[in-house]
Amino acid sequence: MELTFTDEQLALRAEVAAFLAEERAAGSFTPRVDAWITGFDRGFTKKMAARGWVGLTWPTRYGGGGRTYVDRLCMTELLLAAGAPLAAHWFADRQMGPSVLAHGTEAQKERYLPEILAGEATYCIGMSEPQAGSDLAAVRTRAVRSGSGWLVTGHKVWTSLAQHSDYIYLLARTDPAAERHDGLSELIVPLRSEGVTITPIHDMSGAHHFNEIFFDDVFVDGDALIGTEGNGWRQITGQLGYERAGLERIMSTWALFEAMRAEVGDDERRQEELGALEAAARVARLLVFRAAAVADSGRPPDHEAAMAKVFATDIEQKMVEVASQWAGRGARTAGAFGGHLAPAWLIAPSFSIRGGTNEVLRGIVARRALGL
Amino acid sequence: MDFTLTDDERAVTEAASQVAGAADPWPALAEGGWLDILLEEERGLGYLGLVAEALGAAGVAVPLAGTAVVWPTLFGGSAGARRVGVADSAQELHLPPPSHRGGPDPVDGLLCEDGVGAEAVVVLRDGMAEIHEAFTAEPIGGLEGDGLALLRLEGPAVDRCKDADLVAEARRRAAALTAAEMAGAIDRIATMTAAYVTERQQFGRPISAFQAVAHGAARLATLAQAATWSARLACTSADPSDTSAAKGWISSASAEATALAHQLHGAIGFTEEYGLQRLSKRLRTLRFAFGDDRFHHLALGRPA
Repeated sequence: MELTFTDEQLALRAEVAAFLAEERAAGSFTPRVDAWITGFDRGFTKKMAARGWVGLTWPTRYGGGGRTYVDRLCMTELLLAAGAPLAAHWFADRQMGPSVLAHGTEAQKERYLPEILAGEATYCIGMSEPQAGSDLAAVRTRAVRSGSGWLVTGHKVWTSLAQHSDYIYLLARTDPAAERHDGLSELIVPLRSEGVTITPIHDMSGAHHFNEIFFDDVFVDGDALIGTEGNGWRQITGQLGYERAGLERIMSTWALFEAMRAEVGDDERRQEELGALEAAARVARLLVFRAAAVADSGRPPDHEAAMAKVFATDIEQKMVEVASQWAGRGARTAGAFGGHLAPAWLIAPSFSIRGGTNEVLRGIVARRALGL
Repeated sequence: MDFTLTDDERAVTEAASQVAGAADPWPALAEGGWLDILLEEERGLGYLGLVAEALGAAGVAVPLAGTAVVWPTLFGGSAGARRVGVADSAQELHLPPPSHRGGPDPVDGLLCEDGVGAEAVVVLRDGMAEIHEAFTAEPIGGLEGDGLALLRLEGPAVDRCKDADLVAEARRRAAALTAAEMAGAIDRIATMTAAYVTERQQFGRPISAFQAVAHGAARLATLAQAATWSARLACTSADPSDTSAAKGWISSASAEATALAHQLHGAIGFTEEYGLQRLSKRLRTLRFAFGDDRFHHLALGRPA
C-alpha cells in the first residue's frame, strides 16, 4: 500500500503544471467549469499529443506512453483543476482507444490509434437512444451485413460533441433474434459517411454539446466492427468502467470550488462547510484512484467505478448548492464566484445522470460488489 | 500509488484481527509489540492503523492512541503497557456550558480520552505537553464503553515536552489512528448489514430484493470503502490535511452509516444482544475524539 505519489509521478505532474502555467500565461484558455466535455480546442489537444499526453496509458508499441491509469490520473487531476479544454481527445483517450486496444485487430489498431495519438481524431459516444437510456441493452439501432461491410440504421441521442467529431463509437444490434444482451456489437462509424444526419440539442444552459444522430442505411466497411460480433454488451461494460472512473466526476466544478476557497473569508460556518466539501472531495479522489488501480491490475474497473462516480458526483452537486447558499441573492448575478456559479448550476443536474445514472450505478454496486 | 496490501501489511491485519477478538486485547497488544511499533518501524503508524481497523471492527475499546502514538511521539520512549489517557486543551475539550451537559455548575477539569482506567495521562496544551501520574479521572461518558473522564490533576507533571511541532504531530497521529478505528467499525457494520438484508425475509423474499434496501446497502459499502482508504492515507502520509480530511469526513459519515445500518436492521439492530449496537456506540464515541467533524473541517476550510 502506497497512497502518495511516486517520484516519477511527481515529475510528470511538474511537467504538466509547467505546461498549464505557460498556456495560461499565453492566454490559450481560461478556466471553465465542465471544460473536459465542452471545451473543444483541437490546438490544445495537439499540444498535449505532442508531449505524449494523449494515449498516456496505451502500450508503447502502438505509440502510447506505456504508463499506468494511476499515472493518467496524476496528469488529468491538474488538467481538470485548471479547467483546461480537453474535449477534442477526451472520449477517445479515455475509452475508445482502450476499447480498440482490448478488442481490435492489429489492422484496426494501426488504422485508428495513430490519429488519436496525434490529436487529430475526435470520437463521440454512440450509446443512448430515445428508448435506451438507463436500459442500454434496449438499443434498436441496427447493423446489417451488406456485401463486404455493414449497413447501419437507427437513431442515437444525447451524443455530446458529435458536431465536432470524426467518428462515433456505436453500440448497435447485429442479431435481433438473439437474447437482448447477446445480439449487440460495437462499430466505429465515420460521421462524414453518407446517410448520417446530426441535429443539435441545446441543453438548459443554452449550450450545444448534445446532438441527435440519425443513421439511414449508412455503409461502413467490414473492418468497422470492433471485437466479436454479438459480444458488444460485454465489451461495453468494460468501456463504461473507464468512462466512470475518472476525476472529471469530482472536478467538473473545480473552478467554482477554487472561487469558493478564495472567498471563504472569516465566517466560521463557511469555513466549516468549505472544509467539509474539501474533505469529501479528497475522499472521492481516493475512490477514483482506487478504481484506476483496478484498471492497472488488468481488468476494467466495474463496481469500483460505479461506487466512485456516485460518491463523487454527489459532492460535485453539493459544491454548487453550498455556493448558492453562500451567495444568497447574489447567486442570481452573472459574476457570482468568478462567473462560475451560474454555469455550474446549469450543468449540475447532469453530474448524476451522464455516464450512468446514480440509481443504475447503486444497483451495480449492490449486485456486483455485494452480490445482492 | 498502490492500493494492494503488502505481505507485511496483510500479516499485520491477520494478527490484529486475532488479537482484537479477545475480551481484553490489551495484554496481547503489549506482548505482540504493537504498542512500541511506532518507535521501531518507519511505517509504524501505517501498521498501527491496520491494528486500529481490526479493533474498530471488533468494537473493542483500548487506549491505543495514548499509549502507542501520543506518548512515543512526544517523549521518544515507550510507555510500556501502561494505559495512557489523553487530554487535549486545544480541541475544545473543556466541558461545555452547564446547559449543554445537564450539570448545575461549571466544573474545573479537562476532558480526557481513555481516562477511565488510565495509569498515566498526557495533557496537551498550547505547543507543549505534560505527563501526569497523580490525578483523578471521573467517568462521565454517557454511553457504555466510553472512556471519557473528567480529569483533575493532583500533582506536578513528571515529564514535559516543549516542542510545538511534536505536539502537533502527536495530535495528528492520534486523529489518524482514530479515523482508522472508525473505518474498521464502519466497514464491519456495512458487511453485517449486507449479510442481514440477504438473510432477512419479508413479503416472501429477502429484503435486499427491494431496491431501496439494496441501494442503502450499496451506500454503506461505499462509505466503508471511502472510510478505509482515507484513513489508510492519513496513517501513511505526513500531510496533516490528509488526516483532517479523513477524520473530518469519517466522523461526519459515521453518523450516516450508523443511522443507515440501524434502519436496514430494523428492531433487531438496537437490541442489546445483537452486535450492531456495540459498533454504533463505539462510532458515536470516536466521532468526538481527537477532533470531531467540525474541528477537522474547520482546519481544512480556514484560509491558509
